[in-house]
Amino acid sequence: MGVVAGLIAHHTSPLSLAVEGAILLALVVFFGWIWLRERRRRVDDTRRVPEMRD
Amino acid sequence: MPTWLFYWGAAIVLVVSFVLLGVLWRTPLLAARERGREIPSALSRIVLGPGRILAQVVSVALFVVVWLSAVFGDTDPFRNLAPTWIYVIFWLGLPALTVVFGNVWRGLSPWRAIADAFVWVREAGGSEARALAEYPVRLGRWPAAVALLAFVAMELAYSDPASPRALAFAIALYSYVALFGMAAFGRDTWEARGEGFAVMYRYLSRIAPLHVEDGRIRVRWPLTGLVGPERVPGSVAFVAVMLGSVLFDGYSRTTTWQDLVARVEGPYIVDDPTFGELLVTLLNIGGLLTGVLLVALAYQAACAAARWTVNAPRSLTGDFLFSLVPIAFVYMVAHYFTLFVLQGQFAIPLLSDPLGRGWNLFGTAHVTPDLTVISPNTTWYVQVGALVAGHVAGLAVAHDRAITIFPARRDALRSQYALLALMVVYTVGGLWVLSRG
Repeated sequence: MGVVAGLIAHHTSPLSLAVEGAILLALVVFFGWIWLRERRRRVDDTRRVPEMRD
Repeated sequence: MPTWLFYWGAAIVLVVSFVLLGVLWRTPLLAARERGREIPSALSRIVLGPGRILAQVVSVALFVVVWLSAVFGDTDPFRNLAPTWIYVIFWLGLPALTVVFGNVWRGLSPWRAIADAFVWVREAGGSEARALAEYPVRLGRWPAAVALLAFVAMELAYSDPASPRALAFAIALYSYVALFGMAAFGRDTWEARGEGFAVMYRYLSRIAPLHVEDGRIRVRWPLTGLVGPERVPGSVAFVAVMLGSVLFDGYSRTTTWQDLVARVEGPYIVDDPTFGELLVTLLNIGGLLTGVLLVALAYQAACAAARWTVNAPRSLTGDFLFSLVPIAFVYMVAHYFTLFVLQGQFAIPLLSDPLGRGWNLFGTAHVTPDLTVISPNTTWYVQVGALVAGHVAGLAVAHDRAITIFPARRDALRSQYALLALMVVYTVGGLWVLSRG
């Protein structure tokens, strides 16, 4: 069984597949949004070194 | 409810917690509450004076009983006190006691008790008991990491971990190293750097609401002890052993690993079973080391990503290490609490007959353990609840540290993205391993 088929096989109904898909999509979108935002920031203020305390 | 829903539900809980921490937790809270306030001094004096001496005497007596059981008792692990006492009561019960009552190991360590008695006798005789050598600073906590790894390798990798005779040898070896280390470098130094269990219980006691400072017991909010950086060399390795060993223990129960073990051992099981067992032990050691390395690398990668994100001028590895301590504890709870509740009951009859000779010293030899006390559903809910709670606690500890070291809130929050990803990976990975075990 392929990886994708294996991920789908444990679902007993289309609804449960849709719910898992939606949650995974939400996580991917959330972390993807952070990733893109940070990449853009990195370009904007790449030389800024933050102040740090111990 | 399907298992996968728990994985992703847990991940969503972490993401929501992260957002809430960012919005609501704006100034450092842990440092100001770390010390807490003193309990009545009379109570402190009793607990840390006569109470501690009594605990040390009982602990040494139990240590001797367990060792004698291991050396001379029945070779059947179920008729000998030593395996149950070491792997269940000591290894699983003490962490729970520690996160509630603080570093009780300080009073229960038989090696510390023996060393204290030795020093007391020497000083009573007018001599001074001094360490023989200066501890090499660069060794840091590496000796403790190696000691803990040796113990978990005995438990998880060795083919016959419950063998009383093997345990007798292991106890003797560990005791020799512990006492030698204390004599060579001093009791406090060795307990802080080289004695694996002492270092582990020190870390876990930072979760506890009770702690000792300047000879007084103080009470504080739980988790507030997890404040500050941890930059002693070997500390990451030590925490990785704590986490990675439990991860491997879970994975080693999956059918994937069991099939691998059967394939490796199969060809030798009839003609040369000893060689087969040796191969399985080596395979398990490889798996254990892989688990430890994976945990350490994931943490290092998260800290490197956090540093890259904010362009921090120094490494952040030591800053967030304490956030892994509650996770290490909940991994233990999630993986072992059924073992503790079920197998722990066998300690009651075994205490009356530690050597398996048919004795009934305390009248409990015929107590029958109730193995139906927890249902599989309860087990799963406790596992999920513990894992999620531990990771949320880890996130909170890391968040508090971030807003402590970065005066600009924006930098603090950005440093936590990678830590959040790490916690999601640890949680989902931990639940996946648990559900397949």
